[in-house]
Amino acid sequence: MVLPSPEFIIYSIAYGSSLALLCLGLTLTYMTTKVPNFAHGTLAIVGATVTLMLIDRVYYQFRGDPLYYSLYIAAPLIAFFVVGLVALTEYLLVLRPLVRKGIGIIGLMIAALAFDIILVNILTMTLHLAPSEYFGKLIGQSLKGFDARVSLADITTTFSRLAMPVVAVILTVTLHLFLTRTKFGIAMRASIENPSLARVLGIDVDRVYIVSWFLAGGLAGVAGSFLSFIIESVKPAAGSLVIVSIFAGSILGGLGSIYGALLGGFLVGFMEPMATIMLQNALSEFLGRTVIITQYQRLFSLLVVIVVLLLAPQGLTGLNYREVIGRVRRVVGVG
Amino acid sequence: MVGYILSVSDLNAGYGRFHIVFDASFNLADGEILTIVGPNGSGKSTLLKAIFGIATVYSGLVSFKGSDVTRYPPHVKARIGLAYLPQTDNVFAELSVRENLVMASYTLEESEARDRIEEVLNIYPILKQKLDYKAKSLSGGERQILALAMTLIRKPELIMLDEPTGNLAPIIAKELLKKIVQLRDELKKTVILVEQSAKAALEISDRALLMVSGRIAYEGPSKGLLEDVELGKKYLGLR
Ligand SMILES: Nc1ncnc2c1ncn2[C@@H]1O[C@H](COP(=O)(O)OP(=O)(O)O)[C@@H](O)[C@H]1O
Ligand SMILES: [Mg+2]
Repeated sequence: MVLPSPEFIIYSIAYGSSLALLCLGLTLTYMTTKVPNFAHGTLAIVGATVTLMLIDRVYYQFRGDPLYYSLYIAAPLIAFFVVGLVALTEYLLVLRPLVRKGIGIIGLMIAALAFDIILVNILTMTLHLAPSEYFGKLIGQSLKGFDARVSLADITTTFSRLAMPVVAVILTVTLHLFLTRTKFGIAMRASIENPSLARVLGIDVDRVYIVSWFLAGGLAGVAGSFLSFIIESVKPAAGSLVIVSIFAGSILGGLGSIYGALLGGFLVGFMEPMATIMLQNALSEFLGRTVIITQYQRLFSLLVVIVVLLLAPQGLTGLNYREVIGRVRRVVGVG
Repeated sequence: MVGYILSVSDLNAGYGRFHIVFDASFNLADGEILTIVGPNGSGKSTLLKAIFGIATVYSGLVSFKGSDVTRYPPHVKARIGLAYLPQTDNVFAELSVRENLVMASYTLEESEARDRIEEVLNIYPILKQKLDYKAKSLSGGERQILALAMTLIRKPELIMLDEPTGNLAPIIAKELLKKIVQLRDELKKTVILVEQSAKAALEISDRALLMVSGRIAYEGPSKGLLEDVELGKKYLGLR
């Protein structure tokens, strides 16, 4: 087996970190509203778009200047609030009215899909119509060249790839402290576990849901802002690719625990490019010519979904190893 | 109509289209324990939920300390001095004992909340050693004591307990009944208790109410129900 280069491993860690934040958000909204939010991938793309526009309007002129590095604070921060508000809009304008009408899970899923389609179209219109200062046109731009280069020993990587894991760890620790040390954070956990008891105790459960959606959107914005430098091009439909990995990571995490989501998201995000590149290297070696399979990378996430649902539907957090082995036997057909 | 902390008259209640409780009427004096008994599915829990505002009330009146509270939502009832302990899921299993108590005092001022938590911990000292344990790791009896402590934090005057001894071993159940007597005798609370194991509960209570198929079949002193051979045999498995 041919091991990927250190550069590629750094890239995979960065991608895994951003996916961890995305899975965390998806799981948070799933635990509160019980709707799998199909628009979550596009929420990340909104964050990427914010970053693209910020470079176009403000940062283009600072290229090469130390001031340019403030982009890595300004972009995620603005994306956090913008995407937080978009997610809040989805909850308040679309999902909550339907929940109050007693619409079932299927109806809510279709509504989330509809919101996703609307959001993609709004993004498309924005990127087509918004005048661009430097790019000529905004849609479909690659931001890879706008990520500051960093050299460590003989490894050359980019600033966003090094910053993403650090930011993910900081956000995770902050969220953990918020959920365990503040009264409102504890109320969030209480409302997620048992909303009717929380209501009896006088906790405003609806406000907890509102904060959950805003936070989930905000984290998607931060992740998307960093992803804008990693994905091939910033285009509205890119969310439909990311959503597959988000679901895979969340399902692997069990959809019932934010810590499971972080772990599942990181594992899927890290393993997806790693496994693909290692398989590609092995195949090339075996066949004696270069084979390119990276365009099939999402297959890995789909496989994770199938395998987890078949063998351990509760995900990592609900794992009972003896049961899993039993299921493996049954699925494979031995014993 | 003097001296009653709770009056229920001609209450009809249920869940949406499912009419479960029919024409329930009873009064409860301050500082008494009322035990509600009856077969499974006879509507005991529904009656409590209707009083607290969780089940739907179709008609009738619930008055608490002389004022009509029939249509008050649960969190308002909690604020004016009623407490209700659900039959199941009455603590947050994933939260620690301390966090559960913080949630029970959610609507109180910070300093007041701290004092009240201190107070209930003095009433139930076993919780003191378990403050950082998750509620799901407590034994059944400890869990019910935590639930009791949570209802006591807001200093309610009327406490409604739905089968608190439900899944407990007999010895532990007896201990818990003692704690309920303590609510009345030492803390001067009024208690409505729903119980399956009727005999032990009736022996500690002042009044009794027998529900059969959503209707009240007996209402009076609990002694009266204990001595009623026919009702006892038919519905309570006594003798
Ligand atoms: N949420 C609900 N919706 C519809 N019917 C219910 C609901 N909860 C309980 N019931 C029905 O109400 C009846 C009385 O239930 P309950 O009040 O829990 O009885 P008890 O507490 O005396 O055992 C039962 O027939 C039960 O099936
Ligand atoms: Mg019951």
